[in-house]
Amino acid sequence: MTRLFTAFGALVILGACSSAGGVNPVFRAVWDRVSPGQAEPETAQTATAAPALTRARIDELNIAMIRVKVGAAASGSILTARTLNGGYATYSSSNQQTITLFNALVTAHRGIGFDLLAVAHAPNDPLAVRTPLDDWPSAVRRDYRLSGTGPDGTVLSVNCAFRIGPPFPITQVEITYETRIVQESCTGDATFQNLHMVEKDGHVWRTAQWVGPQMDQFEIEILEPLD
Amino acid sequence: MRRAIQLVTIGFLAATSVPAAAVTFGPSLNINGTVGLVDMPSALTFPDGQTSWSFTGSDTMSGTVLSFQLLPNVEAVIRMQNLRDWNGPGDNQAERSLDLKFVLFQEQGWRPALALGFTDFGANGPLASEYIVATKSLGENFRVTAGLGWGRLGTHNPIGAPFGTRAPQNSNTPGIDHFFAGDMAFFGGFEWDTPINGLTFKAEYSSDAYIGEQLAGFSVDSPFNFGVDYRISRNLNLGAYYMRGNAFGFRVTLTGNPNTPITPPDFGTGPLPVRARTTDSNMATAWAGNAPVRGQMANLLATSLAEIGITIHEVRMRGDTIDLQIQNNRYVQEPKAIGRLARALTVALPPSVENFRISLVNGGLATTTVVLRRSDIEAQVERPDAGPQSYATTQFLDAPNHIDDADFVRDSFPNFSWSLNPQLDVNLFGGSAFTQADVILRGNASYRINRALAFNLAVSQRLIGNIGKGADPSMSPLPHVRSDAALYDSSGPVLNRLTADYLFKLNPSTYGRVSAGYLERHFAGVSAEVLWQPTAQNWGIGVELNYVRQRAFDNMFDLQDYETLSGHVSLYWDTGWNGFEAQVDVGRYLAGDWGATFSLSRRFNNGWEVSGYITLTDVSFDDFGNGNFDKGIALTIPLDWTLPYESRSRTTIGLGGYGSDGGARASISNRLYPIIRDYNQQDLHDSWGAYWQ
Repeated sequence: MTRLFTAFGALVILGACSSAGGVNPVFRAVWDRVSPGQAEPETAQTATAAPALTRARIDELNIAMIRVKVGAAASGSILTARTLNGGYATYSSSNQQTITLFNALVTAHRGIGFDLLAVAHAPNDPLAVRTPLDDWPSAVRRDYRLSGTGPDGTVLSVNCAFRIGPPFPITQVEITYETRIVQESCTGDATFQNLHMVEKDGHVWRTAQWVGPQMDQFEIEILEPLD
Repeated sequence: MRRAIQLVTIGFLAATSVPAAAVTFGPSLNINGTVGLVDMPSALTFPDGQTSWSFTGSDTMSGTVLSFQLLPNVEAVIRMQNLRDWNGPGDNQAERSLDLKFVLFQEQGWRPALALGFTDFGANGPLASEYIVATKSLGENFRVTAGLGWGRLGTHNPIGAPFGTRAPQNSNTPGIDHFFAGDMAFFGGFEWDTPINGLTFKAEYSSDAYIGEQLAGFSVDSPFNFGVDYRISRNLNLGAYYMRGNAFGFRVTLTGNPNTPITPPDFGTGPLPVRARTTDSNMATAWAGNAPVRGQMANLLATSLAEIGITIHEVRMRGDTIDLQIQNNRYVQEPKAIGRLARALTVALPPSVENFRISLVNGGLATTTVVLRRSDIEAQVERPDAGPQSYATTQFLDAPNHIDDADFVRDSFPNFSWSLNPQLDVNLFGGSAFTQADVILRGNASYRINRALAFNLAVSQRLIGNIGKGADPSMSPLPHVRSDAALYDSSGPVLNRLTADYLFKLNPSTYGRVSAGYLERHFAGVSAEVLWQPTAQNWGIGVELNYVRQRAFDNMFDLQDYETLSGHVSLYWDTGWNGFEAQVDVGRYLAGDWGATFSLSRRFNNGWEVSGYITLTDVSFDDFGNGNFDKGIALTIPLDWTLPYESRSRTTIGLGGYGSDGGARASISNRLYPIIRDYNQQDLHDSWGAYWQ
């Protein structure tokens, strides 16, 4: 029996050691957990709580900014705009996890789980093209492209109907917006609901969107818009 | 305030929620490790690619079963079962069978699912049976199954023999004459998804009379069997059964699906955003005339790309074109490395550089050159059709092995690398001890003189195990090229390989290898191989010749007298259909027998692979010994399917090889096709979805 435990001990400890990669990452993670004294020292950034975000600070940075919360996460992460390609704005976190928006429509994300590669939207999609709330179409079609076999990947097509709800003002980093709740119900290759806080002129300030069948919903606050 | 908004949001959502579509409970396995009831099959299947490894046992048998959903409508099962006392008291029968089930149509509306199945396909052995079965859901929690069986499944209360008599069982004779012949009998049952989450109750009327079982005191008291199936987690499932009115059985199953990884496949650092050039970008190319500047830029590129797991071997920069040779050390899918590199180049290179020519290197060999245009990348990024458009505008060319007039050549030779890996060897086909296993510590070392020439060493030490223990002396009439495996001393360190290996290219589409030394555990000698496969072609042809001599049993370096020339011509074909690849090797084997090996594998984009092979030679089934002919299967699972790390590491579980002398090939560690197979255009096409990831 001792020999058996020795064998399995060796399996765990020596799991794929090499000159290139050191010990295996699983063992490293376990070791760091049981031996916190051996873990990498905290950096200044991790040791000190991030300062509270203020409107003055956002104005000072003068950069498009969103706050994103994934699923039931307790707090959101700040992402700032990095690139704008043909209307597609890609926001990046400090860990270089990225989310791409076309106006207020999430069209892609990377490094957050199961990637959403792209979204094709209708020309009158009010999330993609700012549209006064009174003119929102009753329904639009979207194609969500996910990874799969071949260049085309897997495409899920849905039809989404909008229902404008009651007025509900929201405050985001010291600014209050007179928004209404808009519920979006999508059916087709996937079934889900999105929720948006929209001003009368069609500006979406907060949105909770489906971003893939195996992902939790993204809740996004537009803290500083692109324009 | 924020909390209030959340509450309103939740309330609004709850008030308008869409009811979920009705979902019936999923299929489950029977005691034989195939989708079914208790001992009987059903017409259901698992999702495409689902792979299950079951350990089963009852008073009449024990065994291991690997089941694989080969296609959405085809279930393939490899059963390795030990039939207790089959040949008389204390004389067990080791049976290996291939079971296939074809679902003719799935359940739809009033129409039940219908399937046609074959147990021990192609052999009329103790497990052989054929059946046609229908399964229908009644509501969300209840399902009924009914079928007709032949062979073993036609032995209890037969209702006739509409297709003639059946020949006596004989597992040594492959054939299909026995299909649907002999008595036919009815079977059926039901499954009930109980209110207990994950628990399914089953009951069946069995058409198996267990005629061949010879256990002492064996009896069939009832044709009714009962069982429960409990899903502990997505990847672990248990079954417990009460059978024949007097016996119990069990099943433990590990299961997974390549398409539903245990951890998210991309949880970490995303790619760099593409930085598009503007209309007023400086397109001057004067910088390209300055060799030191080019060299410095290439050095910076090499340093920064190493941080994202990409090694640069060679670089040449000119005014509008950059040529790179890269090696992907991190990403499972090559297009992901190509895409990340391309994004980095849009950020790092002067605006005048329009063409990115990226050659993919593996094992020291440059394989395919991927040609991208920067303006295409800028025009396609983030667009809805970026995936198909990017593939359409990319060129795939055969890569020369080196870049002429390179500005940068990685200066890292000679170098030394090593690795230490645990290894679990399982032998389910091994003689008297039905299941044998070894836990082995394996060390590899490589001293590389340059990209082409390396000295490689592999040693291993068995930590614990029983493979080969109690093996009977080989009585094979053939040269004992494998059947004496148990005689090789494994009490101390074992030298598995000590070779000099030279890999090269004869031209951009032809690869070559020469290896010499201790090639494998049993043979030393010289091995040479040439492989022709243009990247745009989905097939290739290879030729391999080995002149080898058998190694000594009890000395690491001595040789025995037996020497032979073996060799094969190999055809490789990537079908481009559902990830299937086929391979045929025709030639002379180690024992001097002539024949062919047929291999078929299904590969998934994330690195999962299930493969199988059979070898038929001019050795008669009787002379071949246990198993009649060589066959085996292997399952490869990528590490990053199970762990939240991007890693190219894979684990392979191989079951096969009877230790028989017929159909034995020299085990060469660095054959060319496995080195280049991920890099041809067909493979890059299949995984191109990762390009923008």
